[in-house]
This record gives sequence, C-alpha cells and structure tokens, in this order.
Amino acid sequence: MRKSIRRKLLLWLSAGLGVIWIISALIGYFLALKFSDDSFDRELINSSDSVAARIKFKEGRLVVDLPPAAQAILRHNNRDMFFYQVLNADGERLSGDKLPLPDIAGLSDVPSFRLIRLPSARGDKVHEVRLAELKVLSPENDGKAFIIQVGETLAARKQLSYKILASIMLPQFVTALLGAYAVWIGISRGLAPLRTMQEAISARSASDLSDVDDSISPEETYPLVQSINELLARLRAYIEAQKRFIANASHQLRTPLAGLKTYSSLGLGAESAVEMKEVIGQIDFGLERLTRLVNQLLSLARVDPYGATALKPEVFDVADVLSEVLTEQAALAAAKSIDFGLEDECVSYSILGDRIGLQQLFSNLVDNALQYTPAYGRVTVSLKTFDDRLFFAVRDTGPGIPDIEKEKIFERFYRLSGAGTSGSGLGLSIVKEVASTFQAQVSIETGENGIGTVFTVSFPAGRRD
Amino acid sequence: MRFLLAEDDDYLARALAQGLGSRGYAVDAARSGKEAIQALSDSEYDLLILDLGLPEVDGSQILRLLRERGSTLPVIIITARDAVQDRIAGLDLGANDYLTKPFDFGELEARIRAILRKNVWGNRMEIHCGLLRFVLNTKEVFVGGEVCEFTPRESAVLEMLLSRAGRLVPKKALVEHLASWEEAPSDNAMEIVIHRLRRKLCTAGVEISTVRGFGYLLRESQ
Repeated sequence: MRKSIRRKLLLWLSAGLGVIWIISALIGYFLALKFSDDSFDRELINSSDSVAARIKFKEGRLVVDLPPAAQAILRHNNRDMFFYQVLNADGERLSGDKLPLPDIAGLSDVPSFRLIRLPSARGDKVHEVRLAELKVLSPENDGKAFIIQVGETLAARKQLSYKILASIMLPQFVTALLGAYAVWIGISRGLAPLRTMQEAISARSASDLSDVDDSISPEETYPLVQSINELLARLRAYIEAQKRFIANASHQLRTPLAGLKTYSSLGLGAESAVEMKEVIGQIDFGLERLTRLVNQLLSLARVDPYGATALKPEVFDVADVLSEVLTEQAALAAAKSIDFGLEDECVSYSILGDRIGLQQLFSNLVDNALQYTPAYGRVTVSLKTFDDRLFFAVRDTGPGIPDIEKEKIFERFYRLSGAGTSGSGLGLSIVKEVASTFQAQVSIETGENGIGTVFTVSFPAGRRD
Repeated sequence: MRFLLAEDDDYLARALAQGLGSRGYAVDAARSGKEAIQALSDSEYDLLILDLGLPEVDGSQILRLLRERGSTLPVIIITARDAVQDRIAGLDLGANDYLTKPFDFGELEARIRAILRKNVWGNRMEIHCGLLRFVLNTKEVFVGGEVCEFTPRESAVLEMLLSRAGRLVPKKALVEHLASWEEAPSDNAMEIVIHRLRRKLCTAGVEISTVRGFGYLLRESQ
C-alpha cells in the first residue's frame, strides 16, 4: 500500500493520544483513590471512636458493650465485613474478634492504618482487611490505656475505585476519539489544496506545459510546486528545441527533395539515352547530398544534449581517431590537388568521451577545409599539447570567413552567403555540440597573412602517454 | 515567356531552370534576395517563381516590395513552409499561387500554365487565328487540322506574337522575353526564327509583318 500522510499522521497522533489517555487516567485514578481511601479511613476512625465509647468498667472489669445491633451500625455497608478487637496495654485481648496483634510500642492516639490478610472463620478464604489501630486512655482516668483495632474488608473501596476508574477512562476515551476524528478532518481539510492542484494537473491536456498555478499551494507544498514548474520549464525548452530542430530538418530536407523530384520528372520525359544519363547523374548527385544531410541530422540528434540516445564515454587515443579521419579524407584532397598535411608530436593522447562524436568533429572540420579550399590550395591539420591542454587545429587557404559571420556559422543550417558548395549547414553545429560534450572550446581565426581560416579545438587535460 | 527563379538552393534552381528551359521558357536564376531585386528592376519578366527562405532579403519581403511598387507580375511561391497560416500569409501578400516543397514538376508546370492562361490569354485554352489553332497546354500548333512541328523557341515566339495578335510586338520585348541570362539570342537570331515561322505558317492564313527596326505584328491574312 502507498504511504499515506493522513494515515501516518493519524497513527502517530493516535499513539500519542493513547499514551496521554492512559497516563492521565492513571494519575486521575490514583488521586481519586487516595481521596476515597481517606474518606473510608475517616469512617473507620469514626468506628474506632464508637468502639472506644463503648468501653466500660463493670465490676472492675473492662467490658465492651457492643451488641450486634450496634455492630451493624458500625458496618458502613452491607457488602463488607466489620471486625474489631480491644486489647489492654499489654496486648491481651479484652473483647472483639481475633485480629493479629499490632506493634504496641508504635501506637499512639492518632490512628495508624495497615492492610492485613485475614483467614475467614471457616478457613476457606482469605480476606483483605484495612485495619485502623490506636491507643486510647481509659475512661476511668486511671492512667491505663487500651488498644482498639477496627477493620473492614475492601469490597466497597474496590467497587468505588472501579467506578472512579470507569468515570475517568470513559470520558477521556471519548475525548481521544473525538480528537482523532478532528485530526482526520483537519488533515483532509489541510490536504484539500493538494487535491485541487492534482485535479487541475490531471485535467490538463498532454500539450499543456504551462506552469502550475502556485497561488493555491500552501507553504508546505510550495517548494514542490516550484520544482514541478522548473521541470515544466525545462521540458518546454526541450520540446521547443526539438520542434525547432524538426522544423529546420524538414525544411532542409524538402528543398533537395524538390530538386530530386524535378529531375525525376525530367528523366521521365527524357527522349534520348544521353539526356536520360545526364538526368540520372543529377539525381545521383542530389541523392548523395541528401544522404549526407540525413547522416548529419542523425549525428546531430546523437550529440544533441536533449537527444534520446545516450553517449557512451570511453577512453581512447585521439591520434588514432585523427589518423582514421585523415585516411578517409585523403582522397578528396588528392582529387583537388590540395597540399594536405599533418603536424603532430607523434605521440598518443588518451581522452575520455564519445569516440564517434570526436571522429565526426575531426571529419567535419577537415572536410569543410577541403571543400572550401580551392584546388592547389593547402590544408594543414595539427595536434599538439600546450599548458595541459590538447589543441587540434585545421588551417586552410580557402576564401576565409568574414568576421560578422564567425559567430553565426555555428548556428544550425546557417550557410555562408555565396557559398556554392553542397553543405548542409549542420557540420559546424555538430562540431560545437561534440566539443561541448568534451568541455572543449572551438575558435576561428583568420589564417596567416589574412588568407584562409584556422579552426582550433582546445580540449582540457589532454593526457600524453 | 521569361521567368525569374529566386531560389537559393543551387541544386533545385538548376533542376527547375533545366526543366522549364526544356519547355521553352527562358529562366533567369537569382540565388539571393538581393540578386532577385536587382534582376526584377533590370528586366521584364512574365512570372516570378519565389522561394520564401532566401538569404539577405526574405522572399516575402521581395513580394511585399513588388506589390508596393504596383507590379502586376504573377508570382508563384515555392517553399518548405507548409502550414496553412503560411499559405494564407503568402497568398495575401499578393502571390498568385503557393506550392509546398517537394512539389511535382508537372504540377508546377500546370500552375504556371494556369497563371499565364489567365494573365495572357484571359483563360482561353486555345488560340484561333486564321486557320491556325494553338493549344496552350501542349503548345501544339494545328494548321487546318494538321499538326505543325515547331522548335521550342519558334513555339515561344509564336506564342508571344499570338498573345498580342493584331498588335505590334517590339523586337526588343520579344528578345527579352525569350532570352535568359545564359543565352541571349541576337536580333539576327530572332529574324531567323521569324523567317522560319513565316515559312511554316504560309498556309495557315496568318501573316507576320515586319516594322523595320522596331518589331513584328501577327494578324489574320486579309
């Protein structure tokens, strides 16, 4: 079962209320018991006084004139048995029932109380008896003293104590129940804004990513609402980026497709094999360009920070990747008779990151340089370490990039004005995205003597092995 | 008919120029908004095929500029923007038609024909002049029920003369409307075309008269 704040609160509160209920009932009970005991004890003292009043001397002998009718009066109720005993100062029994002897030396005219266990007359039961004992002086003023013991069983006391206990426990139990109910209601009321919020969120359509209204949120859930709103904001930015990307991508795919469709229409209407061959050549060229565009879109989606596919970082040798790229690009350089060269320190550099991404970064920069550099130009690739950083640079003798365009060329689908090549406008975006996954910086400078362009990528902590 | 094609994508521009060229239209291609504006002020065109996403000056700005200047040049927008609002906005800016990329070349041709038919021919499908019958869609020419073969250029000149039948067509206008930037036919070439037309149409009951140093006039033979 899911954790419930309401149940948890109620559980803790009920446990607390239960403990409080028991403690307060116990305290109340013992206090009440003490008062009731005191009052029963006072009655017992009364009884002892009555017994003392009945002590008389008859013919020089001390007698206790306590007929059964008087004894009945001394019994305070008809459930309890009443006992009494009168002793002389030496502890000899003068009258009454047989009760255990008191500690004679410790007695005074202030009654003392104790609890004794007294076997019944038939010996089959043991009665608990509350006993009051005191010493009284003889009514004859002869300096003699008597000891009076009166006792009663505890039935009335016990019954009263049960009544007290019940009269304390029951109202408190009802109070606790009412308290729990009030807590339940209070929690429900307290959680109502959450429900309102939940209803408002459930009622939304999937495309509604606007902020949750935080004005109805209580203070306790405000941080939660804010976190949700921050998440929604990130989600909006992400979806916006995806939408832009898709819009751009579809826009960029439509134009080459329109070209291809036009050529295929021309092919269908071609009247000679030569004409047909020319059109197929154009279609082939268009398809190659489209393939490249699609590949670049896919690799961009790959390195996109919002992309669905996670990059797999691995440790690899940068020099290895670069030599793969250069091998691939050598054919293009040769076809354009470009002086193509590598300057490096002939060592390997380990780096942690996405290998394929780095390959695309190298490949895009080198390919750009070769594409834009006219025939018989020069393209130099270098890989060097300096100040704990690894620098990859591509220098070309192409037409260069005007300063005002240097920032814009990293934007997706941006293409240099007047650039007649078949670029997709994505290559440098890929370079930038990949560089950011390596925490590397990309910079562009104009080449030596104002000729061509130098692209430099500076990687942090390129480790030399 | 001479068209200006304002499209920045090299490949599509080449494809369209080649395709429309093979149908006898003269096509100038502008690769940027600036180039297009320059071309529009330099030459007279019968149609503008306009991509909206042009560098430097956006296609919709060009269209707005054109209409502000009071130009009645027919415009077909070709664009990758396919939302209904974009279409509405494009047409409301004063475009005559709106095609979303990738479009079918045949459809583009048909729409061009429709626009020209309306603008030049008042929605007629065929032109009759003497015994000559010119079918606009196919550019077929019939003389008394017989098909008459013409080269694309001959057919284009005939179309132009027929469109203004009975009126003088200045030679300069004729040359301009039939030439693209790549291949400008000279006055002499034009005379050769006119000469061939006269020969092929000798039985058609139409005559093409020359106003020396100025232009030509096609009319029904008296």
